[in-house]
Amino acid sequence: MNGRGEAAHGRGGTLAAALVTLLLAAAMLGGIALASAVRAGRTYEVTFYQVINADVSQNVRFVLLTDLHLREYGGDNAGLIADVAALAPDAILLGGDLVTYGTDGYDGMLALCRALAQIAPSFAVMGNHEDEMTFLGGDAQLPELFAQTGVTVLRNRAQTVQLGADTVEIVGVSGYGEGFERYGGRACMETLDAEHAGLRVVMAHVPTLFPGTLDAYAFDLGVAGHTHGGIVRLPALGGLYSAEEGLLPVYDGGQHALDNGAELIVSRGLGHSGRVPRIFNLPELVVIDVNRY
Amino acid sequence: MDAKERRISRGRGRAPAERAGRITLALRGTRDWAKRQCAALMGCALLIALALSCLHLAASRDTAHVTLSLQYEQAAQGLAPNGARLSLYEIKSSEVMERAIAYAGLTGRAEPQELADCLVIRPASEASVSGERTFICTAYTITLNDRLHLPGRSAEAMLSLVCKAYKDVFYSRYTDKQTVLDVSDAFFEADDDLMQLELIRIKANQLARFVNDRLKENKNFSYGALSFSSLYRQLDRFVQYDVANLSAYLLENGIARDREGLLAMLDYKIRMNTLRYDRAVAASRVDSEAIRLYDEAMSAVVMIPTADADGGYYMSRTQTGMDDFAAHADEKLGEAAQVQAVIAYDRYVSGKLAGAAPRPEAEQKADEMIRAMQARLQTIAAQIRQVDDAYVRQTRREYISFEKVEVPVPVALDPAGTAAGTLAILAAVLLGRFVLLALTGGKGA
Repeated sequence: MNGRGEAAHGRGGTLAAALVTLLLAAAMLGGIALASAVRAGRTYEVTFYQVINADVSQNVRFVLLTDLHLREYGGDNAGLIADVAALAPDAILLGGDLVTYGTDGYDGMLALCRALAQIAPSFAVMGNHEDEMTFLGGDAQLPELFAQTGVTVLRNRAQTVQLGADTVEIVGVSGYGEGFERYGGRACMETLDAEHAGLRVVMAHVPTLFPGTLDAYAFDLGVAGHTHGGIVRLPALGGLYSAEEGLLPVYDGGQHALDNGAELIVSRGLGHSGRVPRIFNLPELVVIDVNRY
Repeated sequence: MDAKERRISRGRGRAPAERAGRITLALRGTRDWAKRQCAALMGCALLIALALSCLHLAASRDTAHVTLSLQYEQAAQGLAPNGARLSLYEIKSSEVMERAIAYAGLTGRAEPQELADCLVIRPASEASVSGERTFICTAYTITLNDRLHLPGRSAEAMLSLVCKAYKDVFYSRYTDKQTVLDVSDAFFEADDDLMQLELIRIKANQLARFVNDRLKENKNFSYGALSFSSLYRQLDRFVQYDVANLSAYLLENGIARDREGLLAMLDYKIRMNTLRYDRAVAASRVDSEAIRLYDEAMSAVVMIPTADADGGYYMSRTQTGMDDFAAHADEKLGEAAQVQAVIAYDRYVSGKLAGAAPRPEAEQKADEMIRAMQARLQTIAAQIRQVDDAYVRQTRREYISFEKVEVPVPVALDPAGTAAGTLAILAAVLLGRFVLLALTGGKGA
């Protein structure tokens, strides 16, 4: 072997060592990601948000469940139901996508809704998967079946509820983009009084409906889901992708201040529906405490 | 010829150029070997650093920090907004811990003491802005080291709930409350019209005191057409004219649903007040007698322990016990005069009731007047609440604030710890390798 060949051999060795190191590092990260994905498929965390609003005379607690996509925590969701009951909410908000379009059968979700309605007054908006099942899948009964569980299904309408000493108005808005105009979302919001006494909560499945559209109206608290936390969450950067915002979305979870002074809480959801698993992105059950002080 | 001699003779027999080439190749081989070792070491270091970073990042999730700030004037004196003494270490009290655990939905699954043990509270700074070492701190850092590993609740979540629990306790215990503005129909339930009137008077006075306290803080605050000063005027008129009118109407018409019961109650009240009056007059006389008996010559020489306005003790020559006797006598005399006025009024009421004949139309009108006044008072209370809510929105929510202290990812990764850990593990690996080489005589290399 001549000198050039040996030098090439030396460079090849170094390259091989670097390659092995990189492969090992990638394998390690892959292992961690896999463990994270497996964990995200089995458990969830509870995230607590606190909103100050002097319109309530005492603290009001909401529990928000979104994007279950037929996921069950414990047999018949017993673990989830027990957790919600222990959190003692004044009202339960269901932010849509309890079902998955293309997967038949959602009796488990109906049973969950029945159980939740026993815990506290429950309100739901339909997500894109429910809408697709209803309008594309031909399951026209779906909204009615959910309404029969005792959950109040809000499809572009408002409902007032007495929570302790406070009268709270909950508004459910359907549609996104053109659908907001076409299917009555805007008409519903137009009917609301600009001056409202007490707390007003607006529910919509898609969070990006709030900035620039819903925040033109008067309300105190907005809740949404849909983005699954950006599916993959990166340290310091947050979610990786959402269908509406693309890479590194803003409304992938967390609390956001809107232009009308309201707070928007976006849930990362409790399940997932796509092929890409949730990585470094534990599902979450959201608790929102609206405090007087 | 042994092997060594054979190697030497082979070397002697070769040309110098060939020997030099072989040396060069040997050096190059050594250099390549060193390069490969370096690359392997760097790879190992990278992997170890990556693993340690992940560990540090995961560990940082088990700790959360917030800064608590007290944002009101009395905080610098160690007092709560209502003037009570305040200790921030109350955050670790069982009441706050129990609330936090309940808010987390973990009642029965975590003990208050266990949670309290995870909390560390320390002043945010060691000295005041003016450099004083001894001062009352108004900002604290609260750290929660989540050793409990509560299911599904991160350290950050638990700490936020501890803060919420403390805030709730703080506002319910140390600030004024709006409960006085709750004026339900049940509040006015009483057996007789006169007693209902008394309840109306009590509630009107409570509302007036509440509004007056707000006026002392901000006499110009208004919300729409309403203001604290206009509401206070309304309440004043209500008590001075409306309540007085109703009172006069009830008495002049001798209206009572249970006349006998009311008369018996008034009689009992008059007797009890007469006793109070006699006791007050007697106490005043005793003090006056003591003053009379005290030798004036003694007041110049007797020293008595006395407290000044700040509560400091000193021996006083001028302020003798005589002053206390005189003050006490005055106080008792004043009390007697007040009780006497009440007795006179009750006797007047009793006389009116005893001498009046029941008139159904007057009773019906009195009922209507009482209901109208109750409704009016409820309206005023609702207006006060409206204005006060606006006032609270503007000023009150910031008595106390919590700000999350974010630990940046580069800090959470702990570069120093990661580097030290990586070097330590590498050193251990190298040491192990040399030991292995030494034990195997280089065959393991």
